[in-house]
Order: sequence, then C-alpha cells, then structure tokens
Amino acid sequence: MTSLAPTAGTHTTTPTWASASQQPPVPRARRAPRRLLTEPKLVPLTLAESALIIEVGAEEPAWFYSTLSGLQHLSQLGDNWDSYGSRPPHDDVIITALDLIARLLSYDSIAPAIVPTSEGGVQLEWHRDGHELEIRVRANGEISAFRFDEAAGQGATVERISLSDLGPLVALTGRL
Amino acid sequence: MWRRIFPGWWVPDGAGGYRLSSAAFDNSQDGSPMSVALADETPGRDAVLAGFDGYGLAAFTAAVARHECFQAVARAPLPDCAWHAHVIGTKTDAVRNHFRRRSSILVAPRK
Repeated sequence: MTSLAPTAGTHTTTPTWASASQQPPVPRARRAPRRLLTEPKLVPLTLAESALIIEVGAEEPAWFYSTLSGLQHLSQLGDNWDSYGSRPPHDDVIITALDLIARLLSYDSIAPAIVPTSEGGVQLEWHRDGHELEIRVRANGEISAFRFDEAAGQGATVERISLSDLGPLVALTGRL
Repeated sequence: MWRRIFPGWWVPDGAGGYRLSSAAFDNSQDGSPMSVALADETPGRDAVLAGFDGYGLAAFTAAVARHECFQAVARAPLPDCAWHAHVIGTKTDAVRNHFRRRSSILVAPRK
C-alpha cells in the first residue's frame, strides 16, 4: 500500500543569499506543483472499450487494488473464455459492479472473489465460516444476491436490486 | 454429467484452499441452455478437456439436475461431440448455488 506524499518539500529556513549578500537573487527554476496530502489519488482502470480514472480521497482500502485487478482481468478475457462460446463482460457491466462495490464495502471490508458468468455478467463472492454470499450483476445490468448458511442449510435471495437503493441488499449481506 | 470448469470459476474458499463458484452453472450467453457432457458416453476426461488447457471438470448427477434443481436434461449431440447434452431451465441464483454444492470436482482447474 502506498500513501500519498507531497512531491516537493517545504522550506522553513531562511535562504542564505538573503543575509550573506546584497546581490539580487538568481531566479530559480519553477517548481512542479506540489501535491497536497488532501488531494485525491487518481488510479486508472483500463477496460476493453473505455478507460476510467478513479479518485481515491484517502488511503486506499485493503480490497481496492485486488478488486480493480480482478475487474480488469474480466475485461481482458477472450471470446470463448468459458469454452462454451461466451464473450467477456461488457464494460458497462464491469462499471456497474465497481460502482456497487464502492457503495457496499467499507474501508476494512474483505475483498470479494470476482468471477465472470457465462451469461455475460460479473459475480462477486465471499465465503467465510460456512457463510456464502454471492452478488450477481447480469449482462442487462440487473443485480441480485444470494446468501447461504451451510450450518442451517438455508438460503435467502434478493432480486432486482437498484444501485440507488441498496437497503434490501445491505439487509441481506450485513457487514462485509 | 460433466461440466468443464473455467479456471476463474475456481475461487478461494476462505480457508486457504479453493472451491467451485456457482458461476460455473449458467445458461450460455446466446440463450442456449447450459452445456454438459454425458459422462458415460464420453471417451474419457481427456477428450472433454481437449483443447482447454488448465480447465477443470465438475460432475453432478441427472437426478440433481431434474429433482433438486427442477431442470430438464436433453441430448444435444454436436458433429464432433455425440455426448453433448443440455440442462434446460432458468438458472436462478439459488439453482446455480445448489448445482455448486451438489457437484464434485473430478479435475481441479489450474490457477
């Protein structure tokens, strides 16, 4: 993990020419603009037909780079990647999945496994201690989720999830 | 019945190993049903995986498809694959997950 850092230092001492000589100062080369600690970091994401610049306002979450890498990998799949004639997910589907992840996950959330579906969608998966959670973004943009408790042998589904109202999804997933 | 497994469908299980993803069990992008091989009628695993280096092979029974996932199973022979068949029906999230839990891995994909 990298942290944001200024690209040039700040000076707190008086320049030596000011007191040692009456000679006018020699103009110095102009510095490159400084990056402040509060500036967002810009992270590129290149997909098959589009390129995104993602702004990260603070230190990146632990899941950030592995998630971007997983999504980018899906975009780079070739035709017939599944051996059954499927094409890779369209950029719009990948961007919807990224949008969903950004809204749903907190700073210390666990990164999902990111898998393509033959139908042309993207599936996000978490598996832990006998609990399974799968969130699917279909090729047509529809979002659904399935949770299964292995100990109880019971599953629950939420369908037709909207990015503008993640309440039903959060109720199903709990804290990720 | 056997289904080829794309290596990306072999996901971390949260305990240091790998497990099958339910994404492995879906209808095709062109709307055709999920393809499988009728295991007893194939020349063997190598024939089903020929040309797909690194892919794995999962197995489930026709009974699971019919009676637990409420799908139909129909032969759909291809010119070079007489053992090809379709598993017909809507693959809801619950159905795909049930296929995953009731399948066994015969050949693990290579990551």
